[in-house]
This record gives sequence, structure tokens and C-alpha cells, in this order.
Amino acid sequence: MGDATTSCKECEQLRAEIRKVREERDAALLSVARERERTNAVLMSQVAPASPPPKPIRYWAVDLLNSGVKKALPLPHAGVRAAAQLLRRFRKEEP
Amino acid sequence: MKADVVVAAGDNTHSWIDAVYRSGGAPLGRVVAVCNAPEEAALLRELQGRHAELVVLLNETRLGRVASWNRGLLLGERDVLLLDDEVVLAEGCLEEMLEVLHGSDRIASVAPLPSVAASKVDLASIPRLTEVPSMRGPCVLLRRVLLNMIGAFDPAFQRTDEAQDDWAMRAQRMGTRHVRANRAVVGRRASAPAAPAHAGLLLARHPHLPEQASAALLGAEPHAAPHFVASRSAPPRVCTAAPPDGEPREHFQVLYHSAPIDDAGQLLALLESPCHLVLGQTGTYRKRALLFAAAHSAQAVITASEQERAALIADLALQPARVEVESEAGLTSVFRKVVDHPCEESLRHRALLANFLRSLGQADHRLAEAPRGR
Repeated sequence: MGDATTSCKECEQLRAEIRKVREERDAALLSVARERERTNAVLMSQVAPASPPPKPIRYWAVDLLNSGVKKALPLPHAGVRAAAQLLRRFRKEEP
Repeated sequence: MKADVVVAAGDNTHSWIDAVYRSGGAPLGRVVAVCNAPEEAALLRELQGRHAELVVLLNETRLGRVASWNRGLLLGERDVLLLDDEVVLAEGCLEEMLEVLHGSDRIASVAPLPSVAASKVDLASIPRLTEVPSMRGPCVLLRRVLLNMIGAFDPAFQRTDEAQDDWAMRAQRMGTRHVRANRAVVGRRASAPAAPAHAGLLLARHPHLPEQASAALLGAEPHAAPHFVASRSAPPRVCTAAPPDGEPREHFQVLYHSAPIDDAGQLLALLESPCHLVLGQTGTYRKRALLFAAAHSAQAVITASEQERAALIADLALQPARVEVESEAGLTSVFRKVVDHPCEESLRHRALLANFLRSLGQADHRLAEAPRGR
């Protein structure tokens, strides 16, 4: 809306009111901007979690032992797994 | 489609706002001016009579440019054009930038072509957009969805270019890219200062940025628009394998290579040159694979006779329009044609092939460095 060129008392009063309303609108928008700025600051301060520490040695040892057993005794290893699966199935089928 | 404009107001902003409203046209939404001084705010508020959509925010304390930008950026609900009050938008610039931005969901930001000379020429024949490594600059259109997802600039950065680079890298991590709209032109009232090197926090966060930035400048694709603009005022400058007087290749628009290419390293060097590539003497190549790769990356191929031309088109599956028969008078027109109407397919092929060859080189290097017996 452009400013009218006419000038009377009422026009001046209206213009002053419009100016006041605009200033109020700008002040309200500034408050919104400030709040969003705070949210942005929080978002920016989020730090990615540090990478997890290395596995404890006992985990490595157990993994090593497990893969060793798998390699050295493949048939008993597969047999134990199959037996465990069979047992699980029987248990499910029981009423 | 509309975009809001955000400007960190300076001394001349009040005189510049009118120009923005004139050149912005229908796609211009709300203009948000963020001021530090009450006098500036008072001057801008006088303009609100003419431009009801102008929002003037007065900072309670003096804030840096990044913080002022953030205030404006976080306010709107549309895409945002970040503008410096030194920038003059050419007619239709904002419309074109918005069209490019919405041409793909994967574009995070669009920058215009900064050139005063380009505003006077028809840019319809050059590629519409070029990928850029980052979105730093005095005029950038940012996608609202991305601002909602990754936030605005990080206030930890004092320098605006670093804050922009950081935003660009964060957007890139979301799988989006940054482009330059080659047909959207802006001018500057003052010359742009030289960009300082990346440092500190930015490098710690994005250590790959310098490498990515320098790789993005290789090849003819990023230079196609500047080449076109430069050739409006003078005939295209052509160099051969070694430019005369050791002048940098950046000063030339066309590289005419009329010797056979013998290895992949030589081909990569040609592909990475900033000039449009024109190949000659194709009959002397010993390695057909290299000829195939080079011919598909070149803007034009020159043959000695009609028979050779027909055989080459059939053998290498080339577009007939890009293969010409040699003649002294004809070469100049070929050079003019490749600068005026660069083939986007060849430019893309050239960039992809260069990336592939570089990655092969890096893999070879890693293999050579790896300890034996593993």
C-alpha cells in the first residue's frame, strides 16, 4: 500500500497509525526471529557422539576362539547348531 | 513461486531497496533488512510507505553479518535470497534462480553468474546450470526445506564466506548440491575482494573442502559461461598443447589438440584444462580406446576428409554435428561454434571421465603405497 499524496488531519492520523502498526509488526517478527535464533544456536551446538572406544581384549579373545573352533571343527560346530535348532523346534511344538 | 530477500543493512541499503523492488519482479516476496544502527532503521522505515512488504529488524546490540543474516533467514517461510547491498539484480534474475532451484529436489542453493558484461547478451545457448562446490557469495538463493532441516548459518563463524561454506557442506551431507544459474546475471557496485584460504574450524569440520573446491574448477564445464561471455567482445582465443609465451590456459577459450594421445595421463591433462576441447588429426591415433574417450569428451572433432568423417561417426558413435572436415576457413567457425553452443552432453562426459581417471590414479597410488604380502 503506497502513501497517499493528499494531506489532511485524518490522513496524517491514519498514516501515523499505519506506521505504528508496522513498527509493532516488525517488533513481533524480531521476537520470533530471536527465538528461532536460539533454536538454531542449540541445533548448531549439537556435537556428534564420539566414536566408540575399542572393544575390550576379552571380546577379541572370545571371537578368536569362536572362529578357531569353527575352522578347526566345522562338522561338530554345524552339528551343535543343528541340534540347538531342532531342540528349539521341539519345544515350540509341545503344547 | 516466490522468494524472500534478506539483507544485512549497511549505509547504502535505503537507496538500493528501490532497485531490488524494481528488478525483483513478481517472484519477490518479503524483503527483510536487518540493521545495527537506529538511524539506518529509521531511513528504511520511511520506505515502508512505498513497500508495505518491507520488514525492518533493528538489532538490540551490534551484531556481525552472519548473526544478522540468521535473523532474517529464520524468519520467513519461503526460499530465501541472501543479498549484499552491493549487488544489482538483472531483470528476470530471481525468476531464473527460482526455476533452477525447483528444477530438482536435490538442489540446495543457487548462485547467479556474476558478470556485468553478461547482462547485455543472450545466454540461452549456454548450459542452464553448473555445479559448484560451495555457495559462498554476495547473492545466493537458499532452499527453505534445507534451512528447516539443517538450520541457518553457524554463529561460531565470524567470516561470512566460512559460514556459507560450512552451510554448503552440511547441505551436501544431506545429499544435496549447489549450482550456479548461468542465465541469471548480477552485477556488483564494488569489486569483490579476493576470497581468503580455508582455515581453522572450517577445515577441522570439512577437511575435504579445499580438494573438492579445486577439483570443481577443473575442466571446461565450470568455465563454459565465462568463455561465452568473453567471446562476445572478441573472437575466441585458441591455444594448442602448450600455450604461447607460457600464458595461463585460463586466458583461452579453446584448446585445439592435433596430435595423438598416447596414454591416460595425457588424456586426463587435456580433460582437466579449462578450455573447450577440439580434436584434430584423428587418423594418427594408435589406441582406439583413447580416441573414443577423447572424441566423446571433445566439443568438436576435425577430420581430413569426408570418408574419414563418415568412418569416424560410424566407428565411435559420434554425433554427426560434432565432426567437421578440415578446412583453413572452417576452423575459425568451428572454434566460434563450440564456444557459442557448447554441447552439454560432451561437457558432462568429459567431467565424468576426468573423475574416473583421477580415481583410477588415486587407486593406483594407494596400491603402490600398500605394503606387500597382505
